[in-house]
Amino acid sequence: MRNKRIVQFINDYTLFPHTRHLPWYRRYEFVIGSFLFLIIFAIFLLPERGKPNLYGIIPLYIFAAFLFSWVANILADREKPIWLQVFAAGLIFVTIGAFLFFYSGADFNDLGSVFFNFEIMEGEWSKLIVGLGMTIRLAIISICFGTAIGLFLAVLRRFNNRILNTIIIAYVNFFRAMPIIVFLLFIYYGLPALNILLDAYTSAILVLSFAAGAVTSEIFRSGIESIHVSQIEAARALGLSSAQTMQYVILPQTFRIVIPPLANSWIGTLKDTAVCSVVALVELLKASQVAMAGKANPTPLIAGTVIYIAIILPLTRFTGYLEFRMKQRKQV
Amino acid sequence: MENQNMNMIEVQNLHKYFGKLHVLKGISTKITQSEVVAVMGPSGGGKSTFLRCLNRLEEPSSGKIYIEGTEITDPRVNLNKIRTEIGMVFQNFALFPHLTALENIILAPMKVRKLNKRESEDRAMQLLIKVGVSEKANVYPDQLSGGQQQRVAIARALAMQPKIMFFDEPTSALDPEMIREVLDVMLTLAKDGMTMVVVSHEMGFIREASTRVMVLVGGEIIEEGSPELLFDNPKHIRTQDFLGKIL
Repeated sequence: MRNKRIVQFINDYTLFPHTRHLPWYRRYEFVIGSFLFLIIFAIFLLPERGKPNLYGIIPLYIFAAFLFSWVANILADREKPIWLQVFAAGLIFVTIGAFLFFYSGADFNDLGSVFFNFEIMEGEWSKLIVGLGMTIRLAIISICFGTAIGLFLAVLRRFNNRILNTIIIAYVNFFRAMPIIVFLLFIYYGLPALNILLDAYTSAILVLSFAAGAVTSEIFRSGIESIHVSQIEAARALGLSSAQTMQYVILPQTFRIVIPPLANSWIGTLKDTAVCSVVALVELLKASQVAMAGKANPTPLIAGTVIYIAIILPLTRFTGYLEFRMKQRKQV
Repeated sequence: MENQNMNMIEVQNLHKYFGKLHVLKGISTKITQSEVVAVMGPSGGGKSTFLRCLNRLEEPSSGKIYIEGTEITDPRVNLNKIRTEIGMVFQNFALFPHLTALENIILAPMKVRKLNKRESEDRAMQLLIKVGVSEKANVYPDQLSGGQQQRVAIARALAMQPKIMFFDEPTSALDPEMIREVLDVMLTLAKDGMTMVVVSHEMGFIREASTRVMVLVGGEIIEEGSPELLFDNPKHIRTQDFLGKIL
């Protein structure tokens, strides 16, 4: 009996009459109150700075649990205003950052001078740009060769020749299983034992192209096979030969379909160029490492990372845009 | 071989197996010029398979097929060349989605008959006018209705100026409002004297346009004759059965 009255009381009494239809955990009083609870908890119950001992860890976990529950409560409620949801989401990241800052035991005082030391970078930027040039050269050439190989193999598979198919499938599976760096080291350091001497650049192009070829051949194959057989039947019934059907009917449709995964694979090849640093090819990664060693400071590596991201992120966004456009056209 | 030129199509003892399934059991028939042959029968009876064997979209398991006197079941035959004499219209239209209606129609004449672009486009426009879709010449298939797409497909097949036209359930995928416009085009073709083999369920069209009806049940021709004879006086019990269900 008394419980019922308490529940009635909570349901009826509120400072905000327009929220009367909401359950107790979505009422403003509860949200604000629980947030204040979090603040008080943080001020009084969290341990001191520095790496916490076993007993210090427990309040941290409890606080994290309460915080995530509060954030989840906000985010799950579609009626809550956007700014509150953004604030709640942001709170997660701020807390993670704060935990790292206060409780990891790391010394962040010298963060700037160690990782973001611009003075040291004087004169090193040009080296990095040269390295970037090599990276782009490797990427573009390997992408061109690799895509050509992939398209060639995908078309070959249409002949349904058992021997040919076995060879192609073996090739694709080999490069799917083999880490590029291992294969590159084998080509560059291992082949000389057989008197096959390839310089670093050629080895890199070979390995990157064949790896890209394996990936793109699967992409093209699945694209070609996704074209409905009635297209082929209609083309052949008109009198078009196999080759003409492939050239004028199948491949044009395939290209439209495969562009998103293909662009993705190109970005993968671009990132794989970093592997070439192990054979003394001065691309972006190697240039960063050299500069890092020269100035005894990790800043050039951070700079190299930033350059990688600056190049690749726009490409990734562009690929996402292509996928969006593909979906749009399909809805027509 | 001269006397066989009277027959546009001749089929001798055609058998087709899909694995163990015996789909066509010894079909033999002759189709002469300007005949409009309707192939009827229940699903799985082998109608589409029969039609598709005639231009070797399906490979016959055994038997001989002659198109205009040439044996197309001979492995040495130039199949692409034979297929230019046969136009085919499919149930799902099978228009090329990356080309406009006009481009769909001029592709084969340009690449196979080696016509130049101007000539092909003129002919294509005439055909589009004939089938009644001329205003949609530069439109892509996904923006056309089913009836319009099928009519473009018919124009595409006609662009190669075939001697024979095959129709594989051309209206089965269409909404009722659009069936009429496609059947009208097919009627015009029939009246103009085209040799046609039509697999269809459209009784009205069959009664009006066809010169012969072939009933295919269980892979065999159980009855063959003029439409009046068949519909008004079917001989075989299975035909009566089948007609009873659909009329």
